[in-house]
Amino acid sequence: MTIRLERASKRYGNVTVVQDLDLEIVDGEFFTLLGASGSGKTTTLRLIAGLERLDAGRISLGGKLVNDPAAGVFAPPEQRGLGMVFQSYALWPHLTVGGNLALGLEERRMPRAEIAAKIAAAMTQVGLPDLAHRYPHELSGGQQQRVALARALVAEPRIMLLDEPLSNVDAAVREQVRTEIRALQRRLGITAILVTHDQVEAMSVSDRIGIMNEGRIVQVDRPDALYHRPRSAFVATFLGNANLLRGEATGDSVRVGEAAIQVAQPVAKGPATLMLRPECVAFGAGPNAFAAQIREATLMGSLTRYDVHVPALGRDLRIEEASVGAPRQGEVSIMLPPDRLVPLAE
Amino acid sequence: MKRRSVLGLLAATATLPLTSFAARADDSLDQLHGQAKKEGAVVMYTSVPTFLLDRWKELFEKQYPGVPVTYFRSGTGKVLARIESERRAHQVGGDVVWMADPTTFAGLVANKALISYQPPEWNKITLAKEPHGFYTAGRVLVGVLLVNKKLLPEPPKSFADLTKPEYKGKIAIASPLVSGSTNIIDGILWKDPAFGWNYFEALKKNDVLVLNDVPDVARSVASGERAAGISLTMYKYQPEFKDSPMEIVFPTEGTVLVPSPLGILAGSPHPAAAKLFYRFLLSPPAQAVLSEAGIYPARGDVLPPAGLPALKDVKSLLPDPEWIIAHQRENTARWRQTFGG
Amino acid sequence: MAEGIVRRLLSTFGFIAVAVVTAVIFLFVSIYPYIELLRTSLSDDAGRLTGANWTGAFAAQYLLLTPLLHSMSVGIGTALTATALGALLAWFSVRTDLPGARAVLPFVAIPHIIPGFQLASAWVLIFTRGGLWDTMLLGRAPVPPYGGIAIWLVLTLHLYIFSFMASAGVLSTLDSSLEEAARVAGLRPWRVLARVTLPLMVPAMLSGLLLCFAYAMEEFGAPSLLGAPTGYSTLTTSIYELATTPPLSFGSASVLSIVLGAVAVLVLIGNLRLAARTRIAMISGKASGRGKFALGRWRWPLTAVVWIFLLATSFGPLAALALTSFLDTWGHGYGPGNWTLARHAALISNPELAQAVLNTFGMAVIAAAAATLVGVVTAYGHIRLRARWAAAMDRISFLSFATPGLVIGVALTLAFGGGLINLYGTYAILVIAYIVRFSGIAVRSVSTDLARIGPDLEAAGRIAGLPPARVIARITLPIAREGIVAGFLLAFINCVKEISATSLLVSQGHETLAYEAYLRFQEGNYTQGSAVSLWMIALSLAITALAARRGGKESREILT
Repeated sequence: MTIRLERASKRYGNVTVVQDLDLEIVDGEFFTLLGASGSGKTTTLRLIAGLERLDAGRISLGGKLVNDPAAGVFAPPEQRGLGMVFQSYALWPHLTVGGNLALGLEERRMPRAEIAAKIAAAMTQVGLPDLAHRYPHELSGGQQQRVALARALVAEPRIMLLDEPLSNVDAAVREQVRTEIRALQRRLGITAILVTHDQVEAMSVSDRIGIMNEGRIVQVDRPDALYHRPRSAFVATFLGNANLLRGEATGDSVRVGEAAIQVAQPVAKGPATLMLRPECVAFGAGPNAFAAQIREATLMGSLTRYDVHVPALGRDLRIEEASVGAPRQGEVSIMLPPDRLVPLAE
Repeated sequence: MKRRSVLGLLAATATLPLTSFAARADDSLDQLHGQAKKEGAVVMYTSVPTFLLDRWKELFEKQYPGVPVTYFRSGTGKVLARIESERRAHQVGGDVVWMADPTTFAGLVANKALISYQPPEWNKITLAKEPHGFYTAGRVLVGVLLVNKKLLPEPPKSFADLTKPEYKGKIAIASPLVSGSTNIIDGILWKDPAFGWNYFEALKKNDVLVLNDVPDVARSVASGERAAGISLTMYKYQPEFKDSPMEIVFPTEGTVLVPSPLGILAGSPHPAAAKLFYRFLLSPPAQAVLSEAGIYPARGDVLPPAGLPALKDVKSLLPDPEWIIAHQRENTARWRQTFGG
Repeated sequence: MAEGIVRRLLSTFGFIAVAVVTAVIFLFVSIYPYIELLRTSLSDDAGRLTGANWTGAFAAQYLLLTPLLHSMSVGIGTALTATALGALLAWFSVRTDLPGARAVLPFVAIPHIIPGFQLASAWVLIFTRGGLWDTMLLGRAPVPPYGGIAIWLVLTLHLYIFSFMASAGVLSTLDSSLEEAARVAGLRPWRVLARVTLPLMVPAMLSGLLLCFAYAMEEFGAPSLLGAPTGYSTLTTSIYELATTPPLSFGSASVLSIVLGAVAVLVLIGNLRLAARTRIAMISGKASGRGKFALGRWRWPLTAVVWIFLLATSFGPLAALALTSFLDTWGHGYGPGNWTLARHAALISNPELAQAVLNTFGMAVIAAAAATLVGVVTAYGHIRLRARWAAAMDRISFLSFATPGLVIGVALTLAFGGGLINLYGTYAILVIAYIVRFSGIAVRSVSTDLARIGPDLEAAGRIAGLPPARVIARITLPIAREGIVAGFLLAFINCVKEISATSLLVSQGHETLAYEAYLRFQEGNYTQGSAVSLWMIALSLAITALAARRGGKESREILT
């Protein structure tokens, strides 16, 4: 089911938490809202859920307008037919797992047998077929998480909202559940929106990611495109580490410090910033090669991280290289591959 | 005996209204019973203890079937407040009213809340009859000394004795602010120049214990907390005191009589039943119920409580309700000042 | 059950409709009476504006100043001794190796669960001449049976639980490393106690002190039975007298009520402020691996003293009431030869008492259910909707709870004793008094629980397809059930024990069990009074125990 937000805005008092947000999420897509806390991503999700009301703009789900303050339209959450997993899981402590799943179905006056069948199906889907009679507090954190997922899915919604669902599970379980959620979403063919501040999580499951900052979406793209072709310094640094080289573009090269750095594609004249991922810097000779001194080498496991000083650029760069043998030391030559240098919007 | 009277309501003794319903001598009990059955009920407003009410209700309903008795029983003040508010709203709900405190009826008479009625039983009453027939005493509470014979082989014989040094720390009295009968007893003593407030100040100097109510004085004397006190005859007749070392002493100055007034409300919903019940309450069987409980009947021809002399054979003191009403505010304030509340 | 009623109401009529009706009625009955109270204090008998009631009260020393002085003396004395006693016992029970320390709480609670007037009656029965003490040949009683000192001691026993709970709360969450650090720094155990532990307890003790002061000032039952015999009048007994004995003086009664109410309310507001500050400054950290203070060679003597005290102050009053209820004839001692079951038999066959039991249950159930409704509406409006009307209800319910029962009684008499809304002599006016007086308890209890429920739980209900009212009914209220049930039971138990407002508003046919007991003690009928009291206390203890069990974590609060 397609989700569309047009110029959506939300204020709390004087603080605008979501501003003029335009977004279209297509049917069957796994979309992630990624941002730091306070960036407005959870509010956006809650606006879609109907837990918050827009101050301006419109939201439609599957082509149906659900919120438009100008037209006085607001469909409350219970009429939007969504599933949602909360960060806290929000499992009702007074009900068993089965009761948690059944509550919404009972509200729809569904026959008992049908409810039981749906509960069994949902619990099987999340891999906990035998726990329906337990109370939430009797379950482990990972189990509670799956129950929350089952509850979100039991009514077979076409849209599933996930609000930081994995932030309370152990690192080991997190990766597994993440994969399962993704698989489940594909199998059911539903639209999913995930809210997270974890870039790895976002990149590993999403079809597309929207990066949020101060109530706005700064870039929407496929994960690989976001990582390798960020359009702004904010996106570049938010997704992983980045070396940012600020200088003056002269056409086919950019002057940084004393050096002229060649780029693969032309850059408009004037002040320019080039982004280069640490793992893209190479040791050795070639185009854009510079002498450098290693200031610090840190073995991080599969990678070794170097902080090197490049006199020609008048600054330090960070480099990551697959760990082989003892870390490099002393004077080295480094190379900035022209096709890996990404010009950023100023 | 509780005292919660609303003196504000007692619009102090005004001149008596002489427009009264004359009693018709030809009201025979049978006729009244017939009319009462049509009226279907009789309602008493009262502050008299329930164990007496229950006994009368039982006797009356047996003697006059078809006229069930209901009563509104509460503290004096609340009963008077109800009568007054109903009278103002012209919705009188009670037929017969019987209070413990003789000072309470002057206001009712002044407000024309009562009818005058003098049935044949009227003539058998020996005291405290309102001269125009608006009310009569229905029973007499008798204020006496209670003494613990075990503690005091030589008990006090008079009110005056209680201030003697030998009884220092041994006397209990009740508070006139709580106990209506004590208010009457003290009213006689306050008014009497031989006693007055000097007497109470002497009692205070003698380390008297001021309990809330008269039954507590009986408890105090019987249990040995104090050796003697001012209270009523009736407690000696209650089970928990019957065999106690507590005895009754009639003070030499005279025994205080506290008549409880009984009357019929004007504009009552069951006028015939009211008269019937009124006459029943003054009849020998109903009056005998009082004697059994250690209370003196108002009728001279019914035997007094077992073991006690007839009232006409003892020296007695009768209260002056008008004086008590007129001096109430002053006496209450004085009491609070003297005994602290 | 209370929760069920509230749920059904909300499901049927929706939250807004129920909230509006509840709020309007509650605010009316809780505010209007005080307007009447103020008006009466400024009016003469004919209703004309006058300051005479105030000037008169201040001019006649016996009217206002003496009772005020007595109330303050009792309040301050009780606060000091109760605080010291409570803190000491709390320390023994939480921080020392005193045997049986964990079992202390119920024994601290019993003299509080027994209403003040019953504790006072037991006091008289034990310590008066010819009472249990000297009948049992223990010699002259060590304490006076009546008067200011008796009131002070009785109220100390009745109220020290507040200080005990406050101190025990701090002591059990106190990070023991704070004390260990002092030991390492070279302080001997007793010095640690004086320099570290005690100073940390000060805010809690101060809070207990204020609570004890306010409740001692408010108490009516104990001073009315113990004060009068020696002329020790307090504000409460004076108000009662002015409002019930002729010549009635509601003008003066309202002046005294305003003075008493103002003192009590101000002190309790002060305590609330203090408690809020204390909680912020509270020492975090878990009570882990604590070193208990070793009493050493004092251990067994202190054990004996503490336990004799606890057993004497909890079972002593009960035993005194029980023995008196079995007493056959006064003046022949309390031995088995003078025992009878006649009093209890008389109670069982007494239709007035059967009526009183019915009244007590009926009024307490209705009032507690209404208080619970007020609690739910207020807590939900206040915490979830952040509505201003709910904040006002929260505040007013607290103020009403802080207001002495006698003051509420006078105010309601003035407001509904005639005029437009005449509820004089009705069942309803007692129920209203209980609702006004005890809604604050339910509000606090429900609020505590509601504040702990994350808003996500309700959001999840909306997502699952439940409209708002259904979310309240199916999710919020069931989760807040413990708080709601505890609030209901607490309000219920307080209604059962209430006599101060009751004594002014009660009318024939509407007596409660507590009032029947009080009346008997007041007129000196100790045998029947004791019998009624025993049954009532048994009922109170049973319900309190039930509430403590149902209340779970809050069980400690329930006892106070």
